[in-house]
Amino acid sequence: MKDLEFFVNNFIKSIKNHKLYQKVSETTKEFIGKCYVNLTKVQEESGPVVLLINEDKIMNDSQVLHSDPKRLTSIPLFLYRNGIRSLTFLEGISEEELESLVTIIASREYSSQIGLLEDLWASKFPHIIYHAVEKTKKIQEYDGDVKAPSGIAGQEVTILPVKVKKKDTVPGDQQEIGLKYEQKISLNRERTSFLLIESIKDLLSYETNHRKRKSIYMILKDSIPKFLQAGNLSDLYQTKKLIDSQKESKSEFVEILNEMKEIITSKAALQLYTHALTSSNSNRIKREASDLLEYVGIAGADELINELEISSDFVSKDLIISLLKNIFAEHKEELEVRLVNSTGKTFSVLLLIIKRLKDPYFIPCLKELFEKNNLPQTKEVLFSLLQRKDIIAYLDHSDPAVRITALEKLKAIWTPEEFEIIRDRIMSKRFWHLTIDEIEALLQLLSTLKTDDTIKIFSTILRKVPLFKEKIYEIKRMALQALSNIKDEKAVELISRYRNSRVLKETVAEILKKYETN
Amino acid sequence: MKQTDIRNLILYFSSSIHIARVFQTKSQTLYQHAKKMHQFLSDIFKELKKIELTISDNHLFFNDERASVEMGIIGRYRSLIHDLKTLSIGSILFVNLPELEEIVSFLCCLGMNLAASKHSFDEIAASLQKEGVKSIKITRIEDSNQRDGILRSIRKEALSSLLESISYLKKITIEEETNIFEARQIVRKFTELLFKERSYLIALTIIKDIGSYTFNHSANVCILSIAMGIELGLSRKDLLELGIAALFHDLGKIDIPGDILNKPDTLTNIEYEKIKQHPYLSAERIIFLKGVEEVPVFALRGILEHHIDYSGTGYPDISSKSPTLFARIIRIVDSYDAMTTPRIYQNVRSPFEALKYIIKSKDIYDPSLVKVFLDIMGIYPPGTIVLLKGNIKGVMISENEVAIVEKGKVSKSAPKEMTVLKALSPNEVDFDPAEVLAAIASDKHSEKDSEDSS
Repeated sequence: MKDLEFFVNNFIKSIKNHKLYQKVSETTKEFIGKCYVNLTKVQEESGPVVLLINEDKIMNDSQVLHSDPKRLTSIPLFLYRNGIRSLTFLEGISEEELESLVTIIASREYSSQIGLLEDLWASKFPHIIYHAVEKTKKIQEYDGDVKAPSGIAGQEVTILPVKVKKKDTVPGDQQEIGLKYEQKISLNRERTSFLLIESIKDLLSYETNHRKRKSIYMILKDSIPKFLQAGNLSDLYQTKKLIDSQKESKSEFVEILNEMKEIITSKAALQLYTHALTSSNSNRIKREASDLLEYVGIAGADELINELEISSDFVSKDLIISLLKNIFAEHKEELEVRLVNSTGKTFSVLLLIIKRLKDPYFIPCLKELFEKNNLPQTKEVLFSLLQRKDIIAYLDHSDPAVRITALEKLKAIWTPEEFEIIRDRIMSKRFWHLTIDEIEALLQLLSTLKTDDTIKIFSTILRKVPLFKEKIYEIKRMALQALSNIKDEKAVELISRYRNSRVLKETVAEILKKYETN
Repeated sequence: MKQTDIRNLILYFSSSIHIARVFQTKSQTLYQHAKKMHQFLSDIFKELKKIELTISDNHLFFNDERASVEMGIIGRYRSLIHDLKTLSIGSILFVNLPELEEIVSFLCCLGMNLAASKHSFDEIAASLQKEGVKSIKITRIEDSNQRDGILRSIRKEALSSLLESISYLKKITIEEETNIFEARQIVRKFTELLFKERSYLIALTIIKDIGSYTFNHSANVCILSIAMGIELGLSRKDLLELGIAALFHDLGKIDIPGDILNKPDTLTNIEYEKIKQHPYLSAERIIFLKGVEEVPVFALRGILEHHIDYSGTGYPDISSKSPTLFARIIRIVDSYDAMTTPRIYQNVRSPFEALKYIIKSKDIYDPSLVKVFLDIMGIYPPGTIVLLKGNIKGVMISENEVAIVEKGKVSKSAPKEMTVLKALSPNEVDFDPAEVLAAIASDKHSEKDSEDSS
């Protein structure tokens, strides 16, 4: 009897523990394990175990095994209210079967009075028999009673075996129906949420009644947390699309739609989307996650920036940057504030986004930051945004590196209008005192403008008397290299003039060889 | 148990008993048969914990499910029932997988007893114990009156459940606060009854005049859809949802004016548009029922799509044009029941004609499911009025049984087995098949065993 009591008590503990954790936790498993050991022990001694369910106790014959006063959390009361009067455990029961029973009982609310029988019926346990009472209705009867009605009164109905003549066949050509379903098929319940959303969409497309329409919306709204809990991103994506497609004018509906949007863009949702974006192997999921994150908007920006900082996957990084670009395109001020207040990796990430945005809005801020921190990455992004006029202004910057960057940026966009500016710089005395890098940048820039004046300037440089020998020669070599970019006769002729120069002949030979091969 | 397993078990068992009776010893041939049976049982025991074969009222039940027997093995089926009845064996229970030697001893024991002039259940039971057959248990056949009583009570329950379902459907239209659990209870009952006595419940769908057409039709479609679901091997959870879909599939029609629904002439465009709304209206009926904690999504989809053809055409204009399984099942069953019901605007078709139409319409109905439906319904579906050899008229109550109405008892010269000549329409007989079906659920009918009528 002790084992029977232990069995029942562990059974109750298993259910309560499951209810507490909303799943089969390790502790629940432990209780179920103990419960199973007790049960099999009893079964070995006395065969099947029958538990009688009372409102406040569980019994075996007249022996009370567990009692619990009538209160909400009483398991006997819960079983009793659901109509269960006895549970029989047959020999051969497995631990899994017992666990399923515990799960079914624990999955219902204490206050629930219907549904448990249905679950037990649907499970069709091979070794657990339940005896239950169900409310039945007084129904209309067929002509007063189930009996031979008047039409055939006095005649006896006889049932005889019958055979169908062989020549009779099923109508139609059965041979053509070659297909046959497998013996067992089951519904793909993974599609449940998708089908629910589709059905709601269909019903909304039809329903105009205010009350019913609201109820349909409420079904969807109540389902979104479940989609979130299940972690199914596609369902949330479909829901988002459905919400977006609804053109409601009634404030009440607009409110519900906004509430739904709030759930879809919640913090919990954000983590799911970010995880999907960076971890999923499916392009479709990545695309959906990206779309949802854009839907979350600025509220999800920090999470994404954080992800960008730690992610090493280039594809994911690129996706996140594109996404952040789209988000911040609508929230430039937010990006500006974040940039000003950030350092290190975050700062770099934000600069990258600004670079992608290509929006001059950020120039003042970047200029300010650049003046302050003089970081190469700030300079690069700043110059990528600057217009020709702004870049020219930077030619007078005190820092040669900035001037070089300005020259390099100008290369692709300058026009003959700026020729004089460049010419004056090259022709000035200061030119020869500039750093080699800046001189080279100037010469390279000059070589992009193919005019007679350009060749004249190069000619002047090449004729320069070498006062500071090595530097002058170096500059001349640079000039020859830059000149070689201008592929016309005059340039070639000018270069060729120095083929016998002691210090420049090697450079000239190299250039001419290059010409030949090209 | 799968129907193919049941079929094989009948074949192996009946042939082995036959061999045992002929040789009356543990012969090599018997061993060979027993080996096959052992192999087969071991395959089944991988999925099942026990196998119980029970005889009840001339039918074999396997683990409480009635065997559905195709014409090809009907002889073996009857012979097996006959042999077991001869030995007063009411049930054979394989508590676990028997050893080969146990099967041989068991078969040999049955064979020797069948060959003997006297048969004693007690002797068989004692022999089995002596031979050490522990995995196979036999029980004595129940008193025939008791057996008949069980079947009658199942049939009574079937008839009551049908009435209960109609009464529930009527209530839905009147009371706003109708509970979905009642609907589920009805579906559960239908499912249990279909497991126990499928043919009779299918035969009941021939009754077309309890309550209004929509209610009657809904209940019929529910029964036939669940029968198809069972045949397809759906889980009980799925069957429950399928049953709900079928029960509610047309309830939206209640919201459409009767003069449109019953208009004998061609409908106007506006009227047809109204009719086309009924899948929406029906779908809404289930989601707004009291007690719906979780929307039965597959049922909802089945209802919305039940007028979408297999090819994707049809109405209403919904997001997906490839109907889900439930919709494809209901599409077939719905048409079948509608076609076999006399309506103001259409001529009634016989079940035979209706099946013919369904088979031919490959664009409308899923051909694979049509095959399943045909397997269930047979050539003359239960409930069909048939003309038998000897100018006798009857109502099919299963694939191999017919109920006939004669003044007094059936003719003494009636053959051992009646032969169906053709199906008749209700106009060609002077009795109502519904009454015959009600009568066989009552206490005033006799069942004639095949062996008794010889």
